[in-house]
Amino acid sequence: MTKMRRRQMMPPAEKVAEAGRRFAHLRVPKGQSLREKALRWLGGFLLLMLLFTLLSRTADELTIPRVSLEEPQNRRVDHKVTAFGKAEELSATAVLSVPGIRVAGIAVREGEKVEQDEPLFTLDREDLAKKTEEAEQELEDKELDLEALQAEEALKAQDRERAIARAWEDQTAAQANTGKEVERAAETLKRAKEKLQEAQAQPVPDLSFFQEAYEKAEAARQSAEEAWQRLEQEVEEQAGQARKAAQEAGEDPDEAETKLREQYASRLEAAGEKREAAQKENQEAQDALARAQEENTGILELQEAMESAQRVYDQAKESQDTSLRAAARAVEDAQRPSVPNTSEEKAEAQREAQRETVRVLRELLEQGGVVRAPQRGTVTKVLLEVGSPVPEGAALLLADSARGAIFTAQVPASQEKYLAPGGEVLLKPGAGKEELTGLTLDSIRKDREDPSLFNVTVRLPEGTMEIGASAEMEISNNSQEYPVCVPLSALHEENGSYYLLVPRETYTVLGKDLVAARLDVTVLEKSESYAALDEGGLLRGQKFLTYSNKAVRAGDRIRLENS
Amino acid sequence: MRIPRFFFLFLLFCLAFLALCPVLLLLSGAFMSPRELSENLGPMLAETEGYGAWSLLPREPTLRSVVELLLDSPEFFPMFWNSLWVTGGTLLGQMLVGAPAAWGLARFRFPFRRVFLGLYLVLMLMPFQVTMLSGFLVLERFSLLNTLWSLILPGVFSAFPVFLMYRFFRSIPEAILESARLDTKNAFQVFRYTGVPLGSAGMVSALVLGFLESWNQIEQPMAFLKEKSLWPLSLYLPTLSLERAGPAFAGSLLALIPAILVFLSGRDYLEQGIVAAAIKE
Repeated sequence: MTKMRRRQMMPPAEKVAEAGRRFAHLRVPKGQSLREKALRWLGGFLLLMLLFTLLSRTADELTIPRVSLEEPQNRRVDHKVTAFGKAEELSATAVLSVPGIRVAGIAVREGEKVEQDEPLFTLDREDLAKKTEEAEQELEDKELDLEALQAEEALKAQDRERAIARAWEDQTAAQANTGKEVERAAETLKRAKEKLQEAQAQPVPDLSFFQEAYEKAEAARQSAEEAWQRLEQEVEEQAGQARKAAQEAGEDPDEAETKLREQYASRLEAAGEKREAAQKENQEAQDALARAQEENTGILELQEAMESAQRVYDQAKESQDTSLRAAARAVEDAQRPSVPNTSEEKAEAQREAQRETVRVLRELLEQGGVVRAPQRGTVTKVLLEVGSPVPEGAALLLADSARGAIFTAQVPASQEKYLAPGGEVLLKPGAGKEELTGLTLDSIRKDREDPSLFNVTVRLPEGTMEIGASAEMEISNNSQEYPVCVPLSALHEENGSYYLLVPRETYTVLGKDLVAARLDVTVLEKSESYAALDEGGLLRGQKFLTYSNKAVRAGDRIRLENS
Repeated sequence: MRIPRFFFLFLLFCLAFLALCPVLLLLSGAFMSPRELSENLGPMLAETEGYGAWSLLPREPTLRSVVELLLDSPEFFPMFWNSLWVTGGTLLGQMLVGAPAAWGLARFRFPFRRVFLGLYLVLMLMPFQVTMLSGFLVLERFSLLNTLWSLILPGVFSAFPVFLMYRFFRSIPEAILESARLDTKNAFQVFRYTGVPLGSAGMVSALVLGFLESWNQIEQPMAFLKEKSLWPLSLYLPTLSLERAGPAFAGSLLALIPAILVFLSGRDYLEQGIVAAAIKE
């Protein structure tokens, strides 16, 4: 039986069971631990993610800043300038005394009011007497010194006058001496010029003409000489030839020569005469030339003489100028005013000061060494100590109560622009005292020592504040009204520009949320509590962050305080 | 010459290591300190000098990134749950719609059955970019854009799970079904009590593969979702930067865990599915 046949004969249930066995691999396997574990892990992982979702949201809610919002206000930006200061005297008088005298007693304290002529302090009598004696001796010395100085000055004046007179004398002598020399040189020059002019007035032979004539005569002489020599030579030659020919012809050579010479005699004679004439002319031309040269040489010598005289005259003139200049300078030097000598004036001033000192000391001595108040006022400073000498300068300062007092304080330069003379001032003395109103700002000046501070003063009516008392000054300056004002706590600054943080809805992964967005603004005016903004950047009705329980930056998520 | 077995094992090990490298990098990156991550990734992401580097074992291991992600990144969890809802909805829909469709194509005879099967094949082969515009228009007409249904419904009616389950349903012997029909004439009951148990391997395979596809989809959310609160986890990771590289690695690790667990739970069925496809009746 085949498998197929066997299968067909099976009952249905058994068929299904057999098919289940055959396709068991197609069924979902049971009891696979890895699969169950994986499913369990997956379930646990999802639970864990759920837990962390809750934790993360809780942590996020805890870290999100809670903020408060406000709208801009329409208000003024008040500037309140406050400063602490104290009342000072309007004017103070320094009570002076002679320094160096021991103080025996002080009758007043700082802040005490005194009347005129009231004793202030007492000087030691013995010390005062000693100082007076010393001062008188010193006065005598100064007077003697002054007399000596005056005598010295008188002698100096005499010496100076003498020096001036001598310088004038020297100048006059120099003028006279040098003048004579110049005159002599001028006379010599004049004569040389006259001689030259006379010589130049006569006609001067033209040397070139005579030179040319001489050269021609010389040439003629040489030509005549040469002709005569040629002729003689020719005669000799002809004579020789004649003698020879005569000898050859058997004739008498001497006779032939004599005959020849007779033939040439006239020619020789003519040539000889010509030669002598040429020599004579040459000689005459040479003599004429020599005479012409001699005449020219004379003029040159006269010219040289004149030039020499000119030089002498110039030297004499220069010497005269030099001498006169030196003499003039000597006079100037002698007449130059001397450096003012102030020794006498100083000595005189010192003598007068010493006289005053002696006078004061004598007065103090007569008063028993008691120094009294020159006027009514308040003692503001005592610079003395009992037993110590009176210091240089003021012994104590006395404020003039009659002229009232001023309140002074210092404010930073940044607040100076809110102050103006005449502005209303409120003073709070504190300690239960009544506030002072109705006061006005008197002056505002830059402090000399610290340019970042300004000194302000307020004149105080008499009797309002004691000198030395301190108080707080308050000055309010109301600006114009601005439509957009925000509290300073809402204004942020970065790199010199200002901005506000405004809420903005955004859609994030977590849904619709509020974030802080930056809104740049322009500040028009600012006080200690509010800032006025330019309307252009901020819409009216636009809310902005004023308060946050945590630091907030642009882009941070925020929650409203009451949400 | 017989090649030693060791050589094959070594070759397989190398290939497996290469395949596992991304996961290993992910693991090490999730436990690296921010400073170490900046040093390693700076040249690539922040254009610092040098070359990018990596070490499989962190020099300074820390849980900081994981803690920061779990406790200080509230935006991670909505996206995680969005992914879970979309994936769960898609898989449930696939079982409710796709399984009966696969059963019908596999066990019923009706006119143009092969034409429909062919259409399913063609649809399965088309990439998302081809159907994106038509899908967008349909979703927009049904006012489903910018809702999670725009991701779920196209997944529910996807052709791939139908094709996968069709193969399994097709391999069930007719004799079993005949015997089941002896007990009941109701075709749904036959499907429910016989077809589903016997084809469960295919269904689970479809679920596993459908989970992986739906969990990792990125184009559909980018195309159909505008609200950030609906974004799934696959859109979270690209928004992070070098400064948040640690939480990015930790987030990737957490996103990987469900996929691994689902795969482990359905691995047997995947293997059975492959075997069943090889067996001929």
